[in-house]
Amino acid sequence: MIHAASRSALAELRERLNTVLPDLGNTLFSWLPLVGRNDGDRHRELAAELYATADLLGGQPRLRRALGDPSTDASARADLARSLFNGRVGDVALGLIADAVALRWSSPWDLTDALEILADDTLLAAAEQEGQLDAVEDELFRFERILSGSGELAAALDEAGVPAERRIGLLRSLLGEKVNPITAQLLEHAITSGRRPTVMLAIDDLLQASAARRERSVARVLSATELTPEQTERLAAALSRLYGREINVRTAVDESVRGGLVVRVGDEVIDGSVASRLAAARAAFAG
Amino acid sequence: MAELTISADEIRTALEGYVSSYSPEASREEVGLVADAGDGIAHVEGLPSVMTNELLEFESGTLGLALNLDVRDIGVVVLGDDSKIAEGQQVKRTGEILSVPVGDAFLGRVINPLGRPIDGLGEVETSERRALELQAPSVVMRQEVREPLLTGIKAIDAMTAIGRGQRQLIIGDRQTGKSTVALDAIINQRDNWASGDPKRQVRCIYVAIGQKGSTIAGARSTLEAAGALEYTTIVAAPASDSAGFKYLAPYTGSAIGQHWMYDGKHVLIVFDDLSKQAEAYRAVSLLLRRPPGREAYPGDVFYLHTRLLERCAKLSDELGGGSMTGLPIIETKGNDVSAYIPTNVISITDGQCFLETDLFNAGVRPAINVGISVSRVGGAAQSKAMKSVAGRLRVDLAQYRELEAFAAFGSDLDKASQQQLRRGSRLVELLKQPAASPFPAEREVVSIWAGTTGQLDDLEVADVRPFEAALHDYIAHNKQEIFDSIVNTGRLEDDTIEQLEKAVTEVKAQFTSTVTKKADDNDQPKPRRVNNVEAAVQEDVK
Repeated sequence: MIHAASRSALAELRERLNTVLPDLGNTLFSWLPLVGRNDGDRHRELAAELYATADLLGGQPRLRRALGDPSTDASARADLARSLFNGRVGDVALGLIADAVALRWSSPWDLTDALEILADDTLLAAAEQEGQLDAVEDELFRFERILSGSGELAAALDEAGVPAERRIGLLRSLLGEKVNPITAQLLEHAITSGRRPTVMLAIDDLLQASAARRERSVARVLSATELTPEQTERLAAALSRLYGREINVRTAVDESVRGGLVVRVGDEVIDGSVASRLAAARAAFAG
Repeated sequence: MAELTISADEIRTALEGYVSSYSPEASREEVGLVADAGDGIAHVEGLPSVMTNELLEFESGTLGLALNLDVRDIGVVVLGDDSKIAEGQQVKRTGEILSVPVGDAFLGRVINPLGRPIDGLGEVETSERRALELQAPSVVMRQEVREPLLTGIKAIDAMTAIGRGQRQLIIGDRQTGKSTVALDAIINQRDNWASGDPKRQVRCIYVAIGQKGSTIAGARSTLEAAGALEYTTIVAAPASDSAGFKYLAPYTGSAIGQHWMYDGKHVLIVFDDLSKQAEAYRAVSLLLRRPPGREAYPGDVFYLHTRLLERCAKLSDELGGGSMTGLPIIETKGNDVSAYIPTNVISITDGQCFLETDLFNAGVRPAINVGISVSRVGGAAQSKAMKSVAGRLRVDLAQYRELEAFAAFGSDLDKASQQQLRRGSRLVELLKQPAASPFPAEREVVSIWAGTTGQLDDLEVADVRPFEAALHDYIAHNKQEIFDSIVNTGRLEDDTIEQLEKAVTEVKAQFTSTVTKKADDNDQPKPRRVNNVEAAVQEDVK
């Protein structure tokens, strides 16, 4: 989302989500006979509804443009959305969708993207509430490492020509029961969403969103051997000092770095690996 | 915290299961939706597997060409009627990269850029197809251009000779006879075709882009009247066609020609004209929101023409030695050859024939400006006979043009200069040639020989062409061995020259001037020009 109108609309929408989420378990659903359901389930339901709405808008150009056209009356757009989704999605989702539609977006696609971002946020909030955010973030990071290690798998998941259900089936057969249900839901949507051209980029966005939730940045660290917890702690402290904010260190083993570390924080890479020094030496000799 | 680990084996098993569980369903079809349509362009959403240059089918049955594959939608050029395409309509893939049917069945036919006949003579039955966008032959697949491709136009065959596999640009303002030159070149292949010898035969393709329907019909009837239609295919994208058709037409013609070329046959293809194709491509590109560059043409307009013209080639003997000669035509505005498209195409081609309005209006037809017309293949593609007689022609004409400008100021000229003027004016007259009357090679050689060796210097200017005709007739009736010798040996032997000289003397003896003898000074343009200048000055003074 490059354009200012969309950015401010998204910020506004996120605020509304934050006001709605704490109540999700209490007021709105308190009268429903939801025995045995916890808050996490409700969050996941809301996210699923938002994802489904985004998918619908993505597949229906006319509806998308009718709802995302800033030149029409905002209340009329919200009414259209309400009449369309009433009874099909929960009250919370309906309220959020109507709010989103009434805001001003630079392009109808931004509206679709915003609904997806909202759903991602809902899921991450659920993880946070359950104290699982760190685990979910770690699982996302591990899965990204697995994808970067197996190009074939990444390509199979990215193949847009294959129906989404088949690709989700592949993902499920891989993940099984190994991951948190929230991670699974995030990943399932990441591979079918058209917001990013590849799954890896979509996971990248999720990691950033997760770190942003904790007002931290993520440092991805590649090392030749497993780092000990003490080493990781020292690295986290050093990076936090360097960047002036809390840094979450995610480590992975990659033998091709030979020795030393490769640290990536956002768009910045600190390359202290033996492999790159060897490459530099080779270049110097060749020159 | 349990770490997520998936072993390589697990991934492999999952992928194997994923691939083996795939069962192609015959009924499954990707569909897209029209997001917007207008001006011959449609944007389509969905269709994630679409390929670039793939044909798409709209609900109305109209075809479209997927040109822009963007992140979330596809920019499609509508081929044909776009009035029935509306937002929300379904679009289907055809799975076909743009291709056209090819083969000998196309000879004598008029087709549209999709290869469908538009001459009302029924379907064209072919079994083969050829993709429109195929890479040009590589360096090792080619060989030097050596064999001549005769146009039957004396000025071109003598000075800017065209070889088989060459790309020779025909450039000039509107109404300077560009198409006529190209059509004459096609008509001149009639004898080769009639010979039945596949080494001599040249299949011709005339691609008419953005011309009036009546002009195309005129070209067709010209070819038919000359008996040239039976070996010619006309690809027509008239002015009324959508921009997509005009952009594709040259590639269609080229695909049909390449099929023959790779079959070891010789092909001549005329693109009439590429400026209109560039304009159509500009329209398409701007509507697809590609960034405009110089003169609002898109960045790849150079590649538009290079990839087309590079497909004209002379193939190596291993590949059958086929050839495709290209005659692209470019229309200039106000004789400006330094505009964007003309400079582009000049740099791509192996030479150009520049046609000028002033010459055309002065009655010099074909109105070829000898000074800036060149052929980079040139002499290599001329027969020995032609090379031996035409060597001095260009120099003589250049000197004549220079002197003519000088003589206009009426200064006294020395004998040598007068002689040059006399020779030059006769050569210019000799190179004039009416439309649709190509000369066989041996007659061209005889004419140019007579001109460059000064055999015509003592004739009136107006007598040059009647005398030329008389000389040809005389040789054809009485001295056929001269023509035979030139045809068979490809050279002008010394004894042939002797015979020619004799023939000239004999014809001169019988020849009666068509001009009523006024005075000898009729030959000298000088005094008359002076009077003209004086008269003009007096007019000015008044």
